Amino acid sequence: MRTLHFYAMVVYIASLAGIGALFKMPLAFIMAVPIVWLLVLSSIMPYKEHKVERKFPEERFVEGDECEFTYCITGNGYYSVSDEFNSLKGYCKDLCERKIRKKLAHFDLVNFKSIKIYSEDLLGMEYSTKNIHQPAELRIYPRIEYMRKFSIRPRKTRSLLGDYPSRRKGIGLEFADIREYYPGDSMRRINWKATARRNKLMVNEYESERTGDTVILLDVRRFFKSDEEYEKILEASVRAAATITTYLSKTKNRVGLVLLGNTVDWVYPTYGKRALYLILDRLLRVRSGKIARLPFEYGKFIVSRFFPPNSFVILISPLLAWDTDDAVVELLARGYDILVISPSMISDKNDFATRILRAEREVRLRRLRLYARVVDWNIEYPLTAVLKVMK
Amino acid sequence: MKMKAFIRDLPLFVVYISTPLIYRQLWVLSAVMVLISFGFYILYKLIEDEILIYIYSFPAILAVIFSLAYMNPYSLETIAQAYFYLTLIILHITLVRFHKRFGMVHRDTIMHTLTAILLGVFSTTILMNYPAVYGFWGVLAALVATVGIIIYILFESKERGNTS
Repeated sequence: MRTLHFYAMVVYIASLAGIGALFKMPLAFIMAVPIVWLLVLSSIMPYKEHKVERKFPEERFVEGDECEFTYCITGNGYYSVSDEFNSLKGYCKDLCERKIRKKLAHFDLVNFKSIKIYSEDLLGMEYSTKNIHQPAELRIYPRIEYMRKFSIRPRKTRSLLGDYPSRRKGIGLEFADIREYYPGDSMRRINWKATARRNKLMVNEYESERTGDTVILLDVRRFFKSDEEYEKILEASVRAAATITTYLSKTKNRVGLVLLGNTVDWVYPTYGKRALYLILDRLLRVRSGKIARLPFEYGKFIVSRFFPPNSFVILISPLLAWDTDDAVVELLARGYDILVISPSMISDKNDFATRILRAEREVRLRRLRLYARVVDWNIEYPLTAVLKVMK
Repeated sequence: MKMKAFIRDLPLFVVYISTPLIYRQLWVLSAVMVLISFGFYILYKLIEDEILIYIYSFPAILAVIFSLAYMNPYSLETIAQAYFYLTLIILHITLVRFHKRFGMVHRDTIMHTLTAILLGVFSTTILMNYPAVYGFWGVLAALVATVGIIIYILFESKERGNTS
C-alpha cells in the first residue's frame, strides 16, 4: 500500500504543474522533476515486506532478572515492531537480528499473542502492516527470600510422619519428657544421667513429628487507588506467600492456597514441587486494576468448605478491611489454627493522620492477638527477619 | 536530543531566512508564503501530525519559486539555486518523517533522495538543451511526457513484481 508520503509527493507534482500552468512559470515544472524522480527510484528499489521471529532463552524468570529478547527480522526497508512487552524500530536490509535486554521488574504472567509489524520501503513510499501470530508465555516469578526455619506448631496434625511437632509422644527429634522404663522400650532411649540420679531406669520421650495441612490465605484485594501503594503491598504479600510456599513445599506437609483478589481462587493442598508450581503460577495472576468489592466472607467460606478443619491457616493480609477480624474469629471457632502475617507500610512520620492510622492498626492487631498469633510486618524489612523473632 | 532536532530543522530554516532576503523580487508573495509555512510549522510542533509536514513544506517550495520568478528560468544558475533549496526542503521532510516514525534515517535514504535531485538536475539540463522543449510550452510538454513515461515504468515494474 502507498504511504501518505507518496500521496503528498504526487500532490506536490500536480500542484507544481498546476501553479506552473496558471502563472506561466517554467520553474514550477522544473521543481517537480526531482520529485518525479523520487517516485521512480522508490518503485525501482527492491522492497520486501518484513517478517519477524521472536525468541527468548527461557519461559521462567524471577523478578529482577534480565531477559534477552531476540528479534530476527527479514526484509528490506524500515520497520516498526511491537508486541506485549517490547517495541523496536529501525532499518533492516535482508536479515538482521535485534537484541533487547530488559529487566523484569515485577512478577507477572506475560501472554504473548502476536507481533505487529509495520514496514516501509527505503524512500517511504510503500508500506505494509502485518500481525504475525506467535503465541508464547513468559512467567516472572516473585523473588523468594531464603528461609532456614519456620516454626509452625499446629494444634492438630495428621497421622503420617512429617515435620510438625505434634502433641502426641513418639518418634521424633524434639525432646518432650522423661518417664520410667517399661519392657520393650529401646535401650538407646535410656537417659543414663536421670537413671543414676533416681536409681531406676528412666527413658527420654520425644515429640512425635507429623504432617499437617497448611493453607495460605492471601488477601490481595485492592483498596488503594494509587498504583504505587497497591503495588508495594501486593508485591510484599505475594513475595511472603511465595517464600512460605517454597519453604513448606520442601517439607512433608501439604500446602494449599486461597486467593482473595478480584475473585476467589484456590489450590487444594498438595505436596512438594507440584504444590510449589501450582501456587506460584496462581500467584502470577493476582494483579488487579479495579478496586475490590469482594468481602472476606468468601475466603472464609472456601477455607471452611474445602480444606480440612485441622489445617493450619496462614493469613497474609494488610488488614485494610474490617471484615477480616470476624472471619478470623469464625475460622478459629471452626477448629483452624491461624497465623496472621500483616504487611504494613505505615511510615514513621509523626503527623496526625499517620498517628491515627497507627493507633487504629494497633487496636486491631491487639484484638487479633487475643485469638491468634499475629506478625506485624513492616515491608521495608525482610519477612524472614521478622519471622525469626516470632515466638 | 536538542542537537538532533536542530540538525533536522536546519534545512528549512535556511530556506526561511535566505529566500526573501536574497531575492528581492516578488518578496511580498515570498514573505507571505514563508509566513504561512512558518505558521503551519508551529502548528506541527504543537500537534505533531505527519500531514502538517507536507502542508508547511509546500508554501516553502512556493516561496522559492516566487522569489526566483524574475530570473531567467532556463539558466543553469537559477535551476541550481532552485534545486539547492528544494534539496534542503526534501531533506528536511525526509529527516523529520523518518526520525519520527523509525527513530533514525538510514544513509541509503539520504543518498537516494540526493540521487533523485541529481537526476532532476541532469534530466532538466538535457531537456533544456534539446530544442524540442524550448520555451514554456516545450517544458510543459516535456514534463507531461516524462510523467507519462514514469507512469508507464511504474505500472510495468508493478506487473513484473507481481509475476515474479
